[in-house]
Amino acid sequence: MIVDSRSIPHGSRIEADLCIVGAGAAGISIARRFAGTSTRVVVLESGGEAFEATTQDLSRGENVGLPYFPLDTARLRWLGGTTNHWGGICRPMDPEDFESKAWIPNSGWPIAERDLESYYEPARVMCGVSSGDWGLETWRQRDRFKPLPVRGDRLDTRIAQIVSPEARSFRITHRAGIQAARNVVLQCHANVTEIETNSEGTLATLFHVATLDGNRYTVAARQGVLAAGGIENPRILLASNRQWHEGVGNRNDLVGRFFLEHPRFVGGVLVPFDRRLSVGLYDHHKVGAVRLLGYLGLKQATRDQEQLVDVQMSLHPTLAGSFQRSAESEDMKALHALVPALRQGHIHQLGGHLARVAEDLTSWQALLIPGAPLPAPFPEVVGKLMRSTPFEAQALIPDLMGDIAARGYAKKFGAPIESILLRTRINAVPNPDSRVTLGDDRDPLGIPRVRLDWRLTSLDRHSVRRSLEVLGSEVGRAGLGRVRVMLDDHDGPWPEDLAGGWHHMGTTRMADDPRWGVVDRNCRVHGIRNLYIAGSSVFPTAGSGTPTLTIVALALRLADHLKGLLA
Amino acid sequence: MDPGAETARGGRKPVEIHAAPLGRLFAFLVDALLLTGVVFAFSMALDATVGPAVSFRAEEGGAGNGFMIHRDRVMLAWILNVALGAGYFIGSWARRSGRDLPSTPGQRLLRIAVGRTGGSRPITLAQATARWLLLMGPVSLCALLGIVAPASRAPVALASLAWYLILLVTTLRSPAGRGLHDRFSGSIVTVRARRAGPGSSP
Ligand SMILES: Cc1cc2nc3c(=O)[nH]c(=O)nc-3n(C[C@H](O)[C@H](O)[C@H](O)COP(=O)(O)OP(=O)(O)OC[C@H]3O[C@@H](n4cnc5c(N)ncnc54)[C@H](O)[C@@H]3O)c2cc1C
Repeated sequence: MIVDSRSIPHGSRIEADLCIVGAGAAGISIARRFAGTSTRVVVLESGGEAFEATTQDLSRGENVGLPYFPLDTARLRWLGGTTNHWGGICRPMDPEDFESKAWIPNSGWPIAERDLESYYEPARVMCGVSSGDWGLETWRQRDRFKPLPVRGDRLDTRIAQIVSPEARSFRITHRAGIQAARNVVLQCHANVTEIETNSEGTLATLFHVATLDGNRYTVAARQGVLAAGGIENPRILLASNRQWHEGVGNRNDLVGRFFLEHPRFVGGVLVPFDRRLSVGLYDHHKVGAVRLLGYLGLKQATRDQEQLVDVQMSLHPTLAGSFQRSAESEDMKALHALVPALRQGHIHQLGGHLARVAEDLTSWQALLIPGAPLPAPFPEVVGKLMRSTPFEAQALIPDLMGDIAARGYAKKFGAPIESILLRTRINAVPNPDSRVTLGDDRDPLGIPRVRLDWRLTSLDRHSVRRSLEVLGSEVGRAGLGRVRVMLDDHDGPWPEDLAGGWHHMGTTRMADDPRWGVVDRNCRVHGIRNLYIAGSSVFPTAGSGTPTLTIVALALRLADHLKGLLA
Repeated sequence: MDPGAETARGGRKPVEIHAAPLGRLFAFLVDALLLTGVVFAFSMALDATVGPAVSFRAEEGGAGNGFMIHRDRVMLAWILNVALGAGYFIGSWARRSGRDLPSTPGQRLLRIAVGRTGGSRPITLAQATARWLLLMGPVSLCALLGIVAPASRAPVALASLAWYLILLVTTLRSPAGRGLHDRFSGSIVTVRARRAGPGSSP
């Protein structure tokens, strides 16, 4: 059932068995696991069923470390959370992601992949991922694109799947399931402002809720789960500082520390000898109904030998001038804007985009002799084609067919490549100085806004450089081309295009020892008997995959753990 | 009622055997091919005299490479080509010489001819012009709009496609094979009568 918390009587106290804070990927997964049981579940969600700027503004914060996205654009605050605009790229963690490595400080999880294995399948279904097959071998046989033909002893190609756009938002795919569950009450516009504990700090007794229109009430639950995202989870704990000046669950000053991202930037360029080198596997593409994306990485043995963190390398071809212009053209933008404009009912914009697309699709007519009864190109066009080499003739396709048709041609048959940008993504080193703290500013509910100090280490930098060098030597050995590494190994500034992957991890990390982690292996906050955390804030390391599938797998595992406690 | 059909069945006047649609289509294709060849040669001549209507711009590094359209020359090509096409078709249909009904070279190849309904007389210049306009007008208009208002290309192309479908359907459904263009211009496409001779049929 979904209700609006603004209509809940002011000052009331709601009793529940389980209180979940946040209805994003993690919160919704737990709530749905409880649907139809006898457990009384209350889900407190800050946003409503649609985007609201005033609610989104509660996520505003300050960046004081490495350049980062404005914090109010790096996540979403309404039903479904950030899944309302995530990219849908999914890949589970690899078994070695859970292992501790002597040369990577603070690495290793207290659980192993086998502890999560059985939850990845239901998580896949929850997320709308098409296939449960993650191995390259299966796809290699079915995919028309092949992996880069380099020797496989140091490099490997990994496969991620992409959830289709219409199945991405948890708000759309799971709303009906929540609405139909009689034991689940999802309260929209309910902002948790504080967690109150007993006097010893061992039990979470009350969740304080405030709405932007001034309503206030509390929820008391036997068990509580914070599922507000990788930045809001530590914020809520730190801001609950009336009883405990350091905040709740923060006796060891770990809440908010170890903030992890998947830093991304272009670290090198591959110039292929053959302009038709096939790299389609490393771009978004489909095999049957399954959307796939490949990327390269060093094999575990090579990383161990070289003492590196994992760096994933994705290949972004820059096509021959005319094709590149087509890919970036206003016509392509209009094509991409068509569906959103249609979905959002922006009829005025839709007309403009349609006209642009139609004009481009018929642009070839401009090269035909006007007034001829049959389509005949001007003599100059025929002459140009006859004088061109096959490569030059191919480069003329965008001029002859228009931008949209040329893009379709490039996708289907491949276009001549000028160079290939190597975008690197780091499974960054957990760093206690990379952290989320409370800032001086307060939001309209009186809660301090967050201050993010994102930092990376020299091992991150060295790993990128070495990974690209290894790729370069393998590419050279295979006679495919040359790689230019653009990152030096000194502790200078990071590349200007450094960005995150919108993945906020590590801020309430998992460890068996309370001196090293905020939550234990069951995601329970150390020292508090009934408070749990769901989401990527519990990840001790970022992993080589993307976070959301693992967030959901961990959430389902936590739900089963809680079911045992609440039975 | 379709006047051509009446004539064909009536038996009072010389019997017109209307031409089969496939043969007509084939004849049109022959004419179109022939005319396109002439138009292409014409374009080459124009290129040589007034300059090319389209030229390729090659820049160092290839960044700005692409075809450049010279609109004034394209416009000139359109005017001349449309005039050429009109002359070809209208001239062929309205010609008055000899005993046979007039026809285009393609029609002659397929042994069909265009005449007035209800008789075996050629159509007038006005009728021929109307017939040409109804048949070739949309393509010519499409080409003109493509030059002066490129944004209108797609809707106009769709509209003319619809028009040709209408012509096709009305031709197929008419017992005398008279599509809208024939009905509006008062024409009918018939099988050419063989010259009288021993054993020949009417
Ligand atoms: C542009 C973009 C692209 C991404 N692409 C990918 C991708 O391709 N693959 C991938 O794996 N991940 C991707 N992500 C990350 C992915 O969206 C997150 O990992 C995932 O949504 C996290 O789920 P969550 O439930 O922990 O948090 P969220 O989805 O952020 O949900 C948290 C919920 O808690 C609510 N909330 C917050 N504070 C409070 C409060 N005080 N009281 C009550 N409720 C509160 C919020 O309103 C929200 O609904 C992307 C993110 C972005 C921004």
